[in-house]
Amino acid sequence: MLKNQLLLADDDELLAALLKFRFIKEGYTVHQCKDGKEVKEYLTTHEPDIIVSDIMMPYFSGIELIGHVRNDLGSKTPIIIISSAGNEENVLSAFDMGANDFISKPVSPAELMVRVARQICKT
Amino acid sequence: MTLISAPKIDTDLLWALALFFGMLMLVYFVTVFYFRNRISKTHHKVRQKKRELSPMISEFLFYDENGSKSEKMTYIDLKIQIREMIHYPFDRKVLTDVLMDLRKDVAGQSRKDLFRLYKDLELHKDAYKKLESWRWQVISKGILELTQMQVVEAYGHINRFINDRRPTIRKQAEMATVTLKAEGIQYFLDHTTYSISEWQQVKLIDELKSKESFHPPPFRLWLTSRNNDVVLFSLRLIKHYQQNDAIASIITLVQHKNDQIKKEAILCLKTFNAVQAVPTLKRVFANAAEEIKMYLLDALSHLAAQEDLPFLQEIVENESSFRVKNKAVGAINTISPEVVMPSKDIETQPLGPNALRAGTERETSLTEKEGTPSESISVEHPQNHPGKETTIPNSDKVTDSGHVPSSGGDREVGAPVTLSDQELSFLPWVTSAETDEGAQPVDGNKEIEEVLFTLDFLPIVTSEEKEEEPWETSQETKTTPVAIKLHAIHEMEVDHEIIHPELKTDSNAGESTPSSLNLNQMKVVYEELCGDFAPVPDEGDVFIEWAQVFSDTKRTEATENSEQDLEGPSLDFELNLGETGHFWMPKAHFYPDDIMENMMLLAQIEELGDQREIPFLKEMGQNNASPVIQGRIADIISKFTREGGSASFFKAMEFEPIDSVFHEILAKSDVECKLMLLQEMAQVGDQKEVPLLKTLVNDGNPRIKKMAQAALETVLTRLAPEPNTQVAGSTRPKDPSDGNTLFDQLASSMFQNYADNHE
Repeated sequence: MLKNQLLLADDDELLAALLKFRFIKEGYTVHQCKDGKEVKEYLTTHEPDIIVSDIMMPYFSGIELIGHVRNDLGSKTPIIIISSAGNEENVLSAFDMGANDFISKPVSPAELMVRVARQICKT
Repeated sequence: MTLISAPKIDTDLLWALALFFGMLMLVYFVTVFYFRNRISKTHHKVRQKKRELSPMISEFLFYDENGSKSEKMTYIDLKIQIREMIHYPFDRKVLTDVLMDLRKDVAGQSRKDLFRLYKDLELHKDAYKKLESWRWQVISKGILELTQMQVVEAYGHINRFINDRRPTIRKQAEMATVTLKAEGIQYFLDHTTYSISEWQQVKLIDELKSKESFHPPPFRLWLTSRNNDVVLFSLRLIKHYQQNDAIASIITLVQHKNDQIKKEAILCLKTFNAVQAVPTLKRVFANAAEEIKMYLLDALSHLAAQEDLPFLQEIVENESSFRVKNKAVGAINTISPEVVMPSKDIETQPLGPNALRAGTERETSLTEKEGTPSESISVEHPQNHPGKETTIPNSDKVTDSGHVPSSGGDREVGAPVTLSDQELSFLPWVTSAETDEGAQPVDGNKEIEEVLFTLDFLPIVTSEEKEEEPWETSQETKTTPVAIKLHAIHEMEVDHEIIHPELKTDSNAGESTPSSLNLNQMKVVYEELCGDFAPVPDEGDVFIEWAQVFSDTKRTEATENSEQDLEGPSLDFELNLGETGHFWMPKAHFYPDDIMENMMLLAQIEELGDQREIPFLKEMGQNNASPVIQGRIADIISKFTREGGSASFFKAMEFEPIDSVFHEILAKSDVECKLMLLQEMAQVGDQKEVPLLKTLVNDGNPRIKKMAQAALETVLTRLAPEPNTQVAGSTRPKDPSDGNTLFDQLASSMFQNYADNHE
C-alpha cells in the first residue's frame, strides 16, 4: 500500500505553501493545517502516514501535538518537527515526547523530503 | 445671603465649547477609523497578494526542466503572469517581501534559486533606487535587502557608504561589504575611518565565520593602522584565525597607550604562548592600570618560567591592590604549583620529633610583612614529590619573600639550606645505573647529601614481538580486504529491486572469487530501495549501477552499415563483456568531410554561443540540405531557446523591445510623436513590436494607452497564423520571435519531439 498521506502543520503560510507544493510534487497527498487546533480536529477523523509540524503554533505547540498523538491517540505515526528555535532543550523535549526527527529552520526542502521518505520507509 | 456665588458663565459659550470638543472628538474618531481601515485593508491586500504569489514562487523554485509538458506550460504561463505583475510597484514590493521572508526559512539549493529569482525579476533595481534616497532608513533598508539577497554586483554601490556619517547606514554598509565579497574585509579595514563598535566587531567576526571557503588575509597588515579600532579589530581577528606570524608587532602593541589594544595584545600573546613577550610584559607592568595588571599577570602565569618567580613575589610584596596581589599569588602557583600555601587562619600544630624524623615534608614559614603574621606565605614542598629533599650547605638561603639574596647579605656561612626540587630544576638529573633499586646517594657530589627518586611515574616499557600483519606480508592475502568489503556489502540488510532482470545471467555461471573482480561475473543490476519488494540477492552478486548506460533506447547492436546511417545524431553502444554478450560498447560514426566541417562549426556555436546565434543558425539551416546538419541546427536552436527561456527569461524579455526600431524613437518623443509612431506601428509593425506595444498599453497617458491597444490588436491580427500553415499537433508556446520559415517549422517539430521524448 502506498503511504503518502502527509499532514503539514505550520502557521507560516509562505513556508507551508512552499513545502506543500514540494510534497505534492514528490507524490504526497498533503493536508495543511495552520494551527494546533486544526491539527487535533483533523487527527480525530484521519490518520496520516506522517506528520510534519512546526514547533511554534497557535493554540497547541508542536511538542503538545506530539504528546497528543502519542499519548491520547496512541498512534505511532512518524512525526518530524520543524523549528526555528533549534536549541537543545527544544530538541530534547521533542524527542522525549516521541518525535521521530527534528529539523531546524532554515529548512532545506530537499533534505526534508529525504527525511520524510526515510521515516515513511521505516514504518 | 450667600457668601460664595457661582461665577456667571455664558451658556452660549458653553454650548460653543461643547460643540467644538464634540467636533474634535468626531474628527479624532473618524481619523482613527479611517487610518485603521486603511492599514487593515492594505494588510489584507498584501496577504491576498502573498497568497497569490506563493504558488508562483514555489513553481519557479522547484521547476524541473525535465518535467512534463503541462508542467512546462504552467511554468511559462506563470512567467508571463509574474512579468505582468512586476510592472506594478505594489506587486514588486510584496514580491520582494515574500522572497525576503522565504530567504529566512529555506536553505540549500532552494535558497540559491530564490536569490537567482530575485535577480531575474530585477527586484534588486528597486533596492538600488533605495540607495539614492535621502532618508537614512530607506538607504539602510536597501543595503540590507541587497546584502540578504546576495547581490554581489551591489558591492561597488554599497562600499561607498562605509564612511557615511550616519551610523546606521555605516554599520549596514560595513556588514554588506564584508558579506558580499571575500575581499570586503580588506577593503573595510583599509578604508574605514570611523570607530567600530564592539557589537559590530562581534557581528563582523560572526559573518566571516559563516563564510564558506573564506581565506583570511594576514591581519597583521592592519596593526599599523591609524585607526585604533582597526588595530583592535585586527588583533581580534589575528587571535580568531590563529595568525601567529605577527608576534613582534603584537609585543610592541602591549606598550600601546590604548588600554583596550594593550589588553587584546596581551590576550593574543597568551593565546600564542609567546614566551619571548615575558620581558615586555614585566616591563609594562609597573605603569599599567589595575585592569591591565590583571591581564598581564594572567598572561605571565601562562608564559613565565621559574626565573620570573622573584618578579611575581615582588608584586605580592609591594602591590597595594588586593586583587592584583591575589592574582600574583595565583600566577606563582600556576608556574610552580603549591609554592604558596594557604596560611590565613591556619592553626600551626607543634611538630613532634617523630614527625620531624619522617622527613617527607618540610615547611618554611615565610612572613610576608613584619607585623602581619596573618598574611604570611608558606612555601611548601610539593606533596606529590615526597622524598625529593635536597640540602645544600653553604648555599644561598631563601628569604621569606622568596628572593635569593645576593652574596654577602645576611647569609649564615655554613648553615645548611634546604631547597625544594622545583628550585633545582636547572640542575641535570645525574643518577647511577641502580636508580631503579631505590634512593641512592649521588656519588661524587659531596654537597648534595641525599637525593631520593621515585620512578613510579615512569611508563613501563617492555619489548614485545611485533605481530604479523597478514595484509602486508602475504602476497596471497593482499586482495583479501576487498573480499571482506564485498562480503560486508552483501551482508548489509538492504532491499533491492531488479532494474534490468533481462541482464541477469545464470547464477551458476561461475563462482565469483572475492579476491578478484571479474566483470564477466556481474549479473544483476540493483538499485537500493527503502521499501519492501524485491528479494535479497545471492551473495556472489556484485552491485553496480548501470542504469544510465543500459537505457533501452541506447542499447542497440552495432551493425555493419551503421556508418552510412546518418539520419541523425545517434550513439550506439557495444559493451562486449565476454561470453555473456549482453552489453554493447559505443561505436564511432564517420561523417563526410563537408558535413564534418559543418558539424564542428556547430559544436563550437553550441559551446560558445547563445540565443543571439539563432538567426545565423536559421540561415545556415536554410542553406544546407543535409538532414544531419539540419537536425543538429534544430537541436542547438532548441537548446538556445530553452536556455533563453529558463535562466535568462526575464532578461531576454527585457531585450525584446530594443529589437523594435520604434523603441529608441519612442523613448525620445513627445506625446504627439508617440501617437504618430503608434499609427505607423499599426501599419508596418510585426512581432518585434508586440512587446513594446504591450508595455505601452500600460502607459499613464490614456491617449497613448488607447492607441497602443488598437495598434497591438492590429498587429496581432496581422500576425495570427493561417490554419494551414500551423504545424499539426504542435503545443509549443507561441514565441514572439517565431517566423513562418521552413526552418521555424523544423525547429518547432524538433521542439515537439524533444518535449515528447522527455515527457
